[in-house]
Amino acid sequence: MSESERVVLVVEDNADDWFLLQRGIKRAGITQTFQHVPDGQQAIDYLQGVNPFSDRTVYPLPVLVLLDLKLPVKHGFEVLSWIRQRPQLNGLAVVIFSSSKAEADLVRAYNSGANAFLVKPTAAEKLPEVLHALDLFWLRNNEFAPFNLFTKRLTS
Amino acid sequence: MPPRPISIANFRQILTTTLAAPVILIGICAIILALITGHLLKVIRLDRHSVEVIAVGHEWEKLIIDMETGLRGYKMTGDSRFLEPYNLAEPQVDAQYARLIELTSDNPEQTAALQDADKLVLQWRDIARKSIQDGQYKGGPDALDDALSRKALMDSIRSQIATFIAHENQLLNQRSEKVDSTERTAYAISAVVLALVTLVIGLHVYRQMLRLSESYLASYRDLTTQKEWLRVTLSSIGDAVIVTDANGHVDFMNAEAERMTGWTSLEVKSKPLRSIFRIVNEETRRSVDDPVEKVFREKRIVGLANHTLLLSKNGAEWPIEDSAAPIYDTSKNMVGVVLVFHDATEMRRAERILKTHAEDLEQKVLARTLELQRMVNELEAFSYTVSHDLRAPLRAMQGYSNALLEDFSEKWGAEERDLLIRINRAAQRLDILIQDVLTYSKVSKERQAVVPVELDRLVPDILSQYPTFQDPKLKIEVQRPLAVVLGHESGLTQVISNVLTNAIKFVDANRVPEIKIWTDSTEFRVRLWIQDNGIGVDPENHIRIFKMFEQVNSKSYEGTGIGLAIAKKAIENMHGAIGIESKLGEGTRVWIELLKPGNA
Repeated sequence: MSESERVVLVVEDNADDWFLLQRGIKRAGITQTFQHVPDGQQAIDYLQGVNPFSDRTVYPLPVLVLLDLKLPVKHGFEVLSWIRQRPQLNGLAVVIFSSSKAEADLVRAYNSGANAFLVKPTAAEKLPEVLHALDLFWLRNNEFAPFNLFTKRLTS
Repeated sequence: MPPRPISIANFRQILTTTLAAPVILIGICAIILALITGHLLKVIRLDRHSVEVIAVGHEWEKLIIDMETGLRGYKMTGDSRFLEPYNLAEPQVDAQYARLIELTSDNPEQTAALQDADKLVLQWRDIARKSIQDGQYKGGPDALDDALSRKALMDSIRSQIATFIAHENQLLNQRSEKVDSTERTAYAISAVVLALVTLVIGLHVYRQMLRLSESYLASYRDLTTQKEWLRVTLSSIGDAVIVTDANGHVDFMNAEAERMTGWTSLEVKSKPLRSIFRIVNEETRRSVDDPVEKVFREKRIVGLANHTLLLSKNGAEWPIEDSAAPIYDTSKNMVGVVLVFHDATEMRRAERILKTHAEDLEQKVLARTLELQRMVNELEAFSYTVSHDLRAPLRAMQGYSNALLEDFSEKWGAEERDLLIRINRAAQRLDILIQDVLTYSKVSKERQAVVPVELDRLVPDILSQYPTFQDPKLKIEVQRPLAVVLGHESGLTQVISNVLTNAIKFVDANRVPEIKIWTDSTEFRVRLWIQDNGIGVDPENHIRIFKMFEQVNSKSYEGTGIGLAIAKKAIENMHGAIGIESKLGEGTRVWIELLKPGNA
């Protein structure tokens, strides 16, 4: 899997946050594809590839989920648990992207199998910095195992 | 004083004296009578003595006369046969005389009289002996003379003896009289003594008997009073009382017992208790152990089982509480049982109410606890919402104003740019405020155990880690070593950095901040002092500054006004205290007092 094919799924219900995030991505000079869903259920639907996300050429499987916690329909933790209950998604990195670092949330996030926990910066000028770090680590340097390997092992 | 009942010992004493006094008196009486009798006998003996003296006197005289008679016959006849009486009497004369002397040895007068008579007798006997030798009278004057001389002597002798006997007779008379008088005296004394003794004994016995009978009456009266008292007491008592005999048959029941059982005393007399005191369990309605049987069996006081119901004759049912106790006589034999019980309706009702109240209370406490828990949960949910949802629009405000500044910078003049920057800053302020409120509520909930914290390590760490304290213009002096305290490192870091930040912040702009840090210790506590040369705090505001949202200085200093409230909460969580010493314009000394390790 080449670097350029890496897709990030952003689960974010707040339109302002998504707007500013997109602007931050642009300003940070990140070239990877960022897919967006506005609630937890749609995130699950996307990962499962069910309608309207069945076309993987339009909606490819991401390597990274940027997951807000406070989400409508299904909470961020429900999405995280759902992901971690599926061994074929073991290669998927989940980074929590939350407004607060409440201790209970931190503990629960790591207990449920989150790979990292980022707090949305309030100061607008800090956002590109955070996104740049994210891009550098997860999208440029981290090595992922291909999903088909997990799937194969399961089906064989 | 009314006569009192006497004791057994007293009673025995009275019996003894009642018997002993007559016995002693009768003894004395017998002695007196014996003495009187003895005296009488002595007097009688004297009387008899005189009689004997007289008799022997006559016999003596008769012997002498016999001799004269014999002599005269012989003289006249010369026949010696006539001398026979003489010869018979002669040897007896001296013997009789000797006896007379002996008999009158107690009376010298009579003895002298006898001796006088004997002298004459001896004269006569001399003459008689000569006369016998002369033989028969030859007639003539000699014979007459002889006869006459003897006759004269004989007359004298007879006269003497007669005098003697008369005298003795006189004595006899006197003595007889004495006997009579003595006898009369004896009778009189005896009569008097007997009468006296009878009187004394009679009086004594009467007195003792009277005493006894009074005691008896007193005892009887007491007994009656006691019985009446007991009856009245038992009858008036609020509790029901039933007394049984040794066979468990009813002996007595008071009015309350009559009322509750529905039976009258007359109806139940000598009936088995079971037949009138019917008790069952309140819930199961099974008959309950007969308490009286239990007392007979266990020989001790027994309480009735709980929740007992008494079924009365007329069908009424009473919840009762009772106890039964054995009655012993003085020889420790069980002679009956006393059963005491009372209506427990009110008590049971009170118990039920109490129980209901307790249950109500429990439920209320549970409800309140749940309510509180719900509120705590809501508060947490609220905090969560605040930290997520309230901050999102702030991020948006900052983000958009930032976007305007950055993406369209060529379009804005200085004024528009300033306004955008103000929007941005306001959003930032609000965000800090929200975070401080959240911190305060978090600190309020914290309940951690305190551990020893080395201030000597912690304070330099804080000074080196916070960029604010790196300003080369600052003068910070730490008087090391600092003491060890009990607390939480994270909380202390927060508090100390907060206090230090204030110390730097609230300084006149034209002054160089000078900060001094030291600790001093008492036996149980440590005080950390942080002194600055800032604007100071008016003493009237020393308490206010530790409250939420209180900022006592003018708006020229930035801050949310929550920092010290958080610090206070955090220090209190460590069982410590925080305070300040300051005056306006004279700098501030903040002290943080904490426990010393080993004193938690």
